[in-house]
Amino acid sequence: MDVNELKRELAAIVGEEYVLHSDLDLMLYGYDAFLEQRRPQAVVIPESTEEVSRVVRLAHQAGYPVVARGSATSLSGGPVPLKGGIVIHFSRMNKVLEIDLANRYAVVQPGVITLDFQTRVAKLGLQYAPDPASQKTSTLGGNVGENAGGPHCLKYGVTTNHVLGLEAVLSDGEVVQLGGPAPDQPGFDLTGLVVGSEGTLAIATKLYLRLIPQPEAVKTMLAIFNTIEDASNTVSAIIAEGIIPATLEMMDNLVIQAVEDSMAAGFPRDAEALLIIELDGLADGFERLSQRIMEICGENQVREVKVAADEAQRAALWAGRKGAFGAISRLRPNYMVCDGTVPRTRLPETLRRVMELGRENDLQIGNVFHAGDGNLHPLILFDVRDPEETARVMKVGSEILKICVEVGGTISGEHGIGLEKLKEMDFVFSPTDIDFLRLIKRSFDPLERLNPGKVIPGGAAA
Amino acid sequence: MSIKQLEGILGRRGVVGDPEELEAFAVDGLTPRAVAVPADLAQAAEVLKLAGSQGWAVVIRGGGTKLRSGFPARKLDLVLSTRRLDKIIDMDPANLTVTAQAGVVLADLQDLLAGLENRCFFPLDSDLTERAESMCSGRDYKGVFLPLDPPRSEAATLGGIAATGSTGPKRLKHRHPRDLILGVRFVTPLGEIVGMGGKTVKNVSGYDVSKLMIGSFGSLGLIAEMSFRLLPLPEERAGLLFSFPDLDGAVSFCRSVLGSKLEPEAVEIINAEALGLSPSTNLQPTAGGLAVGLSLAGFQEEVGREVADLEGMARDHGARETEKLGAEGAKAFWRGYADGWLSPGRVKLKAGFPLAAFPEFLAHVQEASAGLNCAWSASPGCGLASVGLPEELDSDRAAGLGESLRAKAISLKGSLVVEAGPPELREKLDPWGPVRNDFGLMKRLKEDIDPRSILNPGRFVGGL
Repeated sequence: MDVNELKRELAAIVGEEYVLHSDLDLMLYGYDAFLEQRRPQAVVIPESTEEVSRVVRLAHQAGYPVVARGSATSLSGGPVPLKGGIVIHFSRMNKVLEIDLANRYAVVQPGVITLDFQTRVAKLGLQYAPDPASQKTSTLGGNVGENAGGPHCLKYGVTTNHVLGLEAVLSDGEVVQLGGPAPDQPGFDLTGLVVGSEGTLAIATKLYLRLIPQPEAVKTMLAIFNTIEDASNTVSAIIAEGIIPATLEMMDNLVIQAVEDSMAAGFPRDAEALLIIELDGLADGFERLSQRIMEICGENQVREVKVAADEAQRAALWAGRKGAFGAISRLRPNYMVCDGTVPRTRLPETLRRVMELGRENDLQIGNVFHAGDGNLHPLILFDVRDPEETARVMKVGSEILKICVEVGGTISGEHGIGLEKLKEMDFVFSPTDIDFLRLIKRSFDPLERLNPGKVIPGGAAA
Repeated sequence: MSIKQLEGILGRRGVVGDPEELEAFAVDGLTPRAVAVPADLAQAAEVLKLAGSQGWAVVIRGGGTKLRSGFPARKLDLVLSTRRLDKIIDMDPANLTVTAQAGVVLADLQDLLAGLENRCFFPLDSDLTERAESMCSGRDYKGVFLPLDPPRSEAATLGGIAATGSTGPKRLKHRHPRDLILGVRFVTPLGEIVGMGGKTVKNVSGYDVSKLMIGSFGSLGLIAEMSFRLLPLPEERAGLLFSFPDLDGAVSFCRSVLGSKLEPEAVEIINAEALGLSPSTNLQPTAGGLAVGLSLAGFQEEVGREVADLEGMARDHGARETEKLGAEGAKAFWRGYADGWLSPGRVKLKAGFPLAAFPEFLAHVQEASAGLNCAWSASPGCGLASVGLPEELDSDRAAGLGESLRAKAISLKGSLVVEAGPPELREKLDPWGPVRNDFGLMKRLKEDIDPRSILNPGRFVGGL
């Protein structure tokens, strides 16, 4: 089937106005927050599961790849249509279909914006916990595809721990129901397998999400330190105290300054490190625990601890943290975020080696990381118009991941493999492991129609 | 079968071939021709390669507590025991993880974890270098734990718990093995050793294959090693038991507990018969009455507040008796409950349904089992219920009761499985229930991963 015929067939399914194919459109739907760009042959904006199913069936028969896409805030190239084909954009499937308060779950379409959903649920006294920094823009479907994390994952777990089930379109267009509102459906946990598969196994068209009660009390503290060592020691001491806060987030001086330039979050510019420590749970005991945390900060030469007095102050602290990536982009034209994860106690050593690498390669690196769970995000600044510098950045990014693996960690904590980390997969996986991934991919998608070229190096057939 | 070939892989210590000893490894009345007891993953891989080449039917066995489930075995050549895969590879209290092999018994691991020092760390000097001397918290308790409380923890193995997705009452707070396992290493039916995930809390490198393996009942591979998330032991523990004269009181109490901000580890509705099977309590609900049990853990102030609030709420909802349990008493009660009533040694059905459906399901249980003295319990915060059938109930009536409960569960968008029962019951009552429209996909995965169908053949969902 040639491209013109394809477009006609697609228009017959979704309506002509929902098939985009101008040069500009094809360019706009060809990239995410990673560096690669490709062009699809067409972009479709379906309205229903039925339409998604028909589009996928058409692609299956006509031999075109299909790439499902949310807001494309992803950092590893997941939505880039590597081999062209059809991009399915979910902006019209953006409805919250059901919020079942009694049963504590919601059914949503994949195009719902994460924060919009969270705000809506919060008004009902419940919460949807996963909170990636991109939540203002990202979609829930994208979060499911990438198994998104976020600061509160330290206590609450990542996206997969909050997905009860999916309605999904398989590679041949068949619609299946995986899991659902009831626990322990007999059979394989296919929901668990599809979440985080970056749109390569199936396309989710309905998400069953777990809602949990909001905590009775929340206390957010900002601790400011003169050295990274003091901040790191504070993290270790809190854990040694037997306290698992809801979040333990750290930023270094470069990021602090960038955030202040960009939004004046109230962070002191000369601080070498700061920690955002948030406790939540029952109000009883809070006083003693937060007192103890402040003592621990004091024992580790904290300069100052600010406690958010109200929701507005709390929101301001978090805006600073969540705006960090955006703020960094003011310093240089481009930045690359690495997303390695290491056992928490290996963070300092990893950080030291990362900073050495930066110095050796004459690259500026800022750090913002989930210090409680060992997920680090070195931000390497550069200018993509300088090919020599870009090449150095790529090399250093890969070396950072190698360090993470050497100290017992892995190459992606929450951003996914996508395109970016295909060549690093063999840092953590043996050829046998990768063959097993391939086998799963082939079982779901034998013709390799769904987001081909992602996750598995060499593709499904290699 | 060639015992010689097995001995070639495993040595004589690694093979059980004596007919009398083999009796103890029978599954559904079928005695295997041999039991393979590999000492490491490489041996396990060789055994499965051999089994594949010979077309043997293999059942994997951990502590043997969950074998009375699934479709009755039609063919059994080899039992693969994880008994010697019993190494703890890494205990890391500072990072709150443990990595251990499949044959490690949960209670043994918990004992070790409880003794670990988790109050100290090596602080950093300048240049992010660790000092030689550690710093320690002054708190007066130590230790970590794996937050899983399945039945029979003195026998259940980590591999078995993962393979069967086994949980206990404290699932309410701590959730499922799928939420606690960070990575697995498994042996495929083709004898390949595959590692997925790792020991970090966040990991999105490659597909989340651990999830596929967890709960797959040994039908896709041998889960040989796992890394789990741990928690620090709580500062305080307590338990509460209340008796209620009828289901309505217990239901309204549970609803208000689960709708509150309190964070109990477990909330269980337990009927009088099930409570009778749990030693370590003096509470005796009147005939037709039941109990609600709660487990509380956390910092002292939290637990104190929860106990006080719960006592008040229980009174408001018409509780008759109260039994307050201290840390040791609570531990003993929940252990007795899990091993006494929840033990898979009984004939048991397990239903799952959306959270709010529990009153309707339990009312149906009461009605359908009237006059049968069935023990039953429910975890209303998890959407789960367990119904025990009297051993003496004939299999036709048991299957009939199962069908009736299943129809109810399905009408509530849930499901019902035979968690444990004799083969005659599992002949008459589909142990898993009807398949759904994802079965085609499951079948393809099974066929692709286990093309010769050697692992637990025919026993899983839909006869996979």
